[in-house]
Amino acid sequence: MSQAKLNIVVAHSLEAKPLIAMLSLNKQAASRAYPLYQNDRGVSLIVSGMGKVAAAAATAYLAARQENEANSVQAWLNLGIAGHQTEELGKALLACKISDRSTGLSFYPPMWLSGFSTSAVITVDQPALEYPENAAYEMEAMGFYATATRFVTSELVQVFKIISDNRSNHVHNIDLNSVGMLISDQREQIMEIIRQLGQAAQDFNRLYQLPDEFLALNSKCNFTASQQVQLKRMCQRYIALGLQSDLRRIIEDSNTAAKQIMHDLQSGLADHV
Amino acid sequence: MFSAIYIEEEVVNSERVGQILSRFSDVPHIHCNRFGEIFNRKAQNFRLQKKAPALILAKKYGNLVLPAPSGYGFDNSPSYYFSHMLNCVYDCRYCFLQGMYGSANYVLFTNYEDFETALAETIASNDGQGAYYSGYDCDSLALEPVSNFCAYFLPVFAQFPRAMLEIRTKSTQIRSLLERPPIENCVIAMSFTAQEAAARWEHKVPSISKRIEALCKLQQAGWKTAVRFEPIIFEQGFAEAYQALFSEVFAKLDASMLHSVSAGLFRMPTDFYKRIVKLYPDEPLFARSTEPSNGMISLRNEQESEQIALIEKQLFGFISPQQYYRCA
Repeated sequence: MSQAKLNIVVAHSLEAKPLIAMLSLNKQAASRAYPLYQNDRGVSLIVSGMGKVAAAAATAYLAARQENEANSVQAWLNLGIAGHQTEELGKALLACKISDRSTGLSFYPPMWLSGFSTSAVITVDQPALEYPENAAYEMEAMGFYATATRFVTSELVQVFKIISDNRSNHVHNIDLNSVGMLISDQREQIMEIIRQLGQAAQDFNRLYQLPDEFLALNSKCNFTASQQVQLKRMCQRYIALGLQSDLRRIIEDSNTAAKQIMHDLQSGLADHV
Repeated sequence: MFSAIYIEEEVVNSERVGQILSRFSDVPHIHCNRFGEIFNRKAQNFRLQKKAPALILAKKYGNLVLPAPSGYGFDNSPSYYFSHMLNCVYDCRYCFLQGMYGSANYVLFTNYEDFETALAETIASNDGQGAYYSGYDCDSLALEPVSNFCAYFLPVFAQFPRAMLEIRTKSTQIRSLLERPPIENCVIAMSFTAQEAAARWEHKVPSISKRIEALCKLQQAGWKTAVRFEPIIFEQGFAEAYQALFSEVFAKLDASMLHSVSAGLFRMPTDFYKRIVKLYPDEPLFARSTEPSNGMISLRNEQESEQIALIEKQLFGFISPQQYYRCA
C-alpha cells in the first residue's frame, strides 16, 4: 500500500488489537492523551474510549496533531462493534445514515464506496438493551462523524460497524474475547474499505494540494495573506495552462520582493486568454 | 445508475416514488426528513460526488414556477422556468450547476401535481400565454425513464395551447416523445458546442451525431424543435469548428422547420465561478483570464463582438435571421 492517508478511530483496545496486527501499526509514545498507533504507510489509529463525546474528542485530538503535519488531508474511518435488530453476528455494515438518539440529529455519509452492505446507525448514550429499529446500535459514530467532517469533506469520512449482538444474542452476553475475532474475521472487507478510502484521500490530495511552486515562492519571501491567496491561484493557473516551465523560470529568476514576484506572475498570464 | 436513493418521509408513500424505488431495489434506500439534510450540508465536494451521485426523492414547497432570468429565452412574452429536478446526469465542465449547488446528487421533486397547479395558475395569470422553460436546473429528458416528466407534463401543457413549453436538453432519451402525438406548444431544444469543445468539456453527453439524430427523429415525428449553440467558448480555429458544426447539424435537420436557433457565450454568476474554480483548480478553462461585469464572469476576449458576429454570419448561411436570437 502506498501512502494511504487514513485515520481510524476505535472505541476500545479490544477493537484496536486486531487492526494493529492487520495493519502493522506501532504505538506512538509521544501521544499521551490517547493510545495512538501508526504505520509507515500513512495509517493512524486512535483509541478514543467509549461514547460519542470520547470519540469526538479523540477525533479532534488526532486532527489537531496532523493539522500542520503536511500539505494534505486524511480520510477518516470509525470502526467498531454494534448491536442490530436483525443482522447476524459478524456481519459488517457501512453506515448510510447516522442518527443521534438523544438529539434526533442525523448525518448521511456519501455512499460512494462500493461492495459493502449498508445500514442505518443509531448512536446511543448507554448500551442499547433493545433494538427497536432496523439499525445498528452503537455509541461513537455521531461524535466521530460530526467532528471529522469539520476537518475534511464528508466523502472522506465513513463509519463501518461489525455486529456483535442482536435480539438472539443480547449485548450482555458479548464475550469480550470474541471482539477481536469478530473484527479479524472481516479482514478482507476492512482492508478493502481502507484501500478505497486511502485511494480517495490520495486522489483528493493530488487534486487540491498546494502546488510545490507555491510553497517554494512562499518560503522565498513574505507575502501578505491576500497575496498568498492570489499567489496560490496564479500558480494553479500556470500549471493548468501547461506553463509550469515558465512558472519555474519566474521562481528561479525572482528576487525576494513580493510585489515584483506578483507582477512577474501576472504578466506571464496576461497573454493567456 | 445511483449510488443510493434518499427518500423524504413526506413522499415515501407516494405511488410515483414507489414506482421509482421498485426499479432500483439493489441500491440503499435511505429515509430522511428533508432533502436539504443531504443536499445542502456543508463539507461536501461536488467533484467527488459526481463520480457516484445519489438520487434524492423529495417534495418541493413553494416557488414552483419562477420568472426566467432576463434574456434566457426566445420570447418577449412573460417567461418562466420550473425545475422538477436539481442537477444533471451529464458532467459539462462549463456548467454553472457545479457552482450553484454544494452537492452533485440529483434531487427529483415528485409532487408533479403541485407543479401542475402552479403552472395552471401562472398561465391563467398571463391570459393563457407565456413561455415556460424546463431544463434550467437539470436536463429534463436525460432522466426521463426514471422521472416520466414528459409523460406527465406534456398532457398538462396540451390543455394550454397558447402557453409555450421549452424542454432544453442534450439527451437522446426521446422514446416517450415519439410514443405520443406531438403538441403544438412544446419545443424540444437541443444544445450543442463545436466538436472539440464537446470532446473536451461535455463528459457523459451523447455525441453530436446522436443528438442530431434524435432531433431529426423528433422533427420527422412532427415535434417543434430548436437548436441552442451554447456556450460558445472562443478558441483558435473557432470559425472552422463552428462552420463544421453548422454544416453537420443543418445537413440533417430541416432548418426551415426549426422553431428557433440561438447562440450564447460562456458566462455565469461570479459566486458560482469562484466555487467552481475551487473545485477544479486544474481545469485549463478556468485558468483563463476573466472579466467581471454586473455580478457575472465571462472569459476575457477583446475580439468577442467580432467573433460572435462571425458565428452569426456563418449561421445565417443556414437559417433566417428571423429564426435566431442571441441568448444574453
